[in-house]
Amino acid sequence: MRRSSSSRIVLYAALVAAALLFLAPLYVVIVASLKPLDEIRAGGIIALPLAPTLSAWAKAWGTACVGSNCVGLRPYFLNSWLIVLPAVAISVMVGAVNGYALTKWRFRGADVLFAALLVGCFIPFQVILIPMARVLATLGLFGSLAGLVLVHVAYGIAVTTLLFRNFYLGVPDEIVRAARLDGAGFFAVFFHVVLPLSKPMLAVAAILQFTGIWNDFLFGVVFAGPGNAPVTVALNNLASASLGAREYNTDMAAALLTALPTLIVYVVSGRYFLRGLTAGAIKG
Amino acid sequence: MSALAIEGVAKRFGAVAVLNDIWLEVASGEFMVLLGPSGCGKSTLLNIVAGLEHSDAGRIVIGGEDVTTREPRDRNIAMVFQSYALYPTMSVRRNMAFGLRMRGMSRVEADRLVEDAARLLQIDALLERRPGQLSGGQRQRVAIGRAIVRQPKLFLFDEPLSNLDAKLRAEMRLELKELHRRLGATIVYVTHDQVEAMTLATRIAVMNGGAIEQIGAPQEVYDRPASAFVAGFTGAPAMNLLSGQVVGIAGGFGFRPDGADGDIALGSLRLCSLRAGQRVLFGIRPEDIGPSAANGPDGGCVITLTKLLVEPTGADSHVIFRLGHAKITARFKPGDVPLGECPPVAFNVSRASLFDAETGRRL
Repeated sequence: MRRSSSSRIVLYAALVAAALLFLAPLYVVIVASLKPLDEIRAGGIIALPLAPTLSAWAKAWGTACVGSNCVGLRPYFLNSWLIVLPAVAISVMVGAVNGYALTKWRFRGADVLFAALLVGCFIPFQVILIPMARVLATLGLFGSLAGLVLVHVAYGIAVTTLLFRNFYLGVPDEIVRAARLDGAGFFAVFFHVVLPLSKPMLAVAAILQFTGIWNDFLFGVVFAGPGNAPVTVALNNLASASLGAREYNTDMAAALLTALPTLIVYVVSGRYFLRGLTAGAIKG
Repeated sequence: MSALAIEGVAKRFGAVAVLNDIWLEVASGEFMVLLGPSGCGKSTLLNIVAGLEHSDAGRIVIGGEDVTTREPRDRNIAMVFQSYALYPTMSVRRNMAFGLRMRGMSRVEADRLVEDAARLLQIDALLERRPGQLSGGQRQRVAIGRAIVRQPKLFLFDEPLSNLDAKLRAEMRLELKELHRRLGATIVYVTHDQVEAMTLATRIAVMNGGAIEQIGAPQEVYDRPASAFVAGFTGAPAMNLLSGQVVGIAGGFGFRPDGADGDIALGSLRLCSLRAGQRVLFGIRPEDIGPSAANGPDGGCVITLTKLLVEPTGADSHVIFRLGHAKITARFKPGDVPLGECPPVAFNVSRASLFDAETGRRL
């Protein structure tokens, strides 16, 4: 310890400096969201608010104009939840079943199928916008929440399948064989034996999917239609479309509101996330 | 009626033939051990019996019913795995009850059967624990308990003791034998450990290269190995196999090991098919080489053995000699270890085996 005390100081100084650098924008956003508008106009973006107020938050939540619709972010928050919850649940469960089928029921063509699924991880979103729009139109789902959920599930399955397949490679085949001899079929083995083992990977997949889908802007703006826009699209419309003077405090508050769910998810479950990412590596 | 009949089973993985036309019948109550080196196909054969893998040809008949195309769960069998394969998220109780519950038994009735089986295996104090909280020996007991609680027609064991340390392995071996006696169960047991095979089996099937080399009672396999492979695989230390040729000597035939300066008289081996000059393998167990009062009939050196090493094991000492081009191992009582360049050693030829040098089959 003695040997390293001076290098420790340098190390911590570097870490603190890096942390300050990355946290500085967040600080500015938080401070600005708590200032009245005239304080912002007076300049000094670093300064703490002289008269802190939550009025900008209230406005962003309930009365700010999103495009021509002055209802705040609240209804769009609901849209986001209605998209995220089913999309996460479905993509994680389907990914788990896929990973299980690909590793524990080695059927003919499993490797080809997996390779095809992997391609899905690498196709840029922009490439599939038009074909996807056609598919959704054909299904009669264009501009609906269900359509958006379908898009996210379709895209998410590639990643979740990859995650669960690699996780299940580390689960001994003999456990599955034992369960089959014990009388369990495909789904009984999955639900009674494999799924209870998968908690760390379920957490990882759910967190990844949640943040990915919550933060999505592109699919939301293209496929949702005006009434079903998720909160990210609403935030953009709120910040860019307001007439007259820019209300920076409201914009900042809206940005924070939009980011809050993913921030909370990370803070609350970051530990499980790390544990899950390494779980497969440690125990066979 | 046989409990299990394996009829002409064959299996290929791509270009590699893993099993060639396997025929095997296991009588009810028998403890059949499939013995062989890794890669000989014994585990694949067990998996085919279990229905976990499909054979390319042949039939599996369990209790008189053809189950070749049936799912594992519809074969009324239980299996114990090398890695135990307990369900890690379930308690011991739920592990053992799982098979019963999957078959629709009520919780109360399953619990009663689980507790009976747990008492039999002395794991009733562990029922509420998770597998992760158990030692290796306890886990193996639970795995066996999970198998017996269902009272299947047939038990399959896939190297169940390989993950245990030597002492525990010996203990569990005894317990398995005792369990077999008490339950009267029919067991097919795969191992590469010839000691397990000898001690547990009522019959052994020795496998090599995807084929069964010999089926027989343990003592029969040990005393009269059907091939040089079986001879070399059974016994510890294994049977000595000397290559050489048959020579004519006064009063019959002798065996001249390659590079040796003398012959071993084969008089007491009653074989009619020998001819002088024939290439053979001469197999003799370490315990069939013993001390002798003198070497030849007239006290002369009949064959030169050079002592290389002595391995004391406590009860016996293994003495390694050079004989011609080969090394042979003999088992002596510690006090009998011979001295000198041409030690007085006798071969108990009546217990020796001769194998065809080319085919390896017993002559």
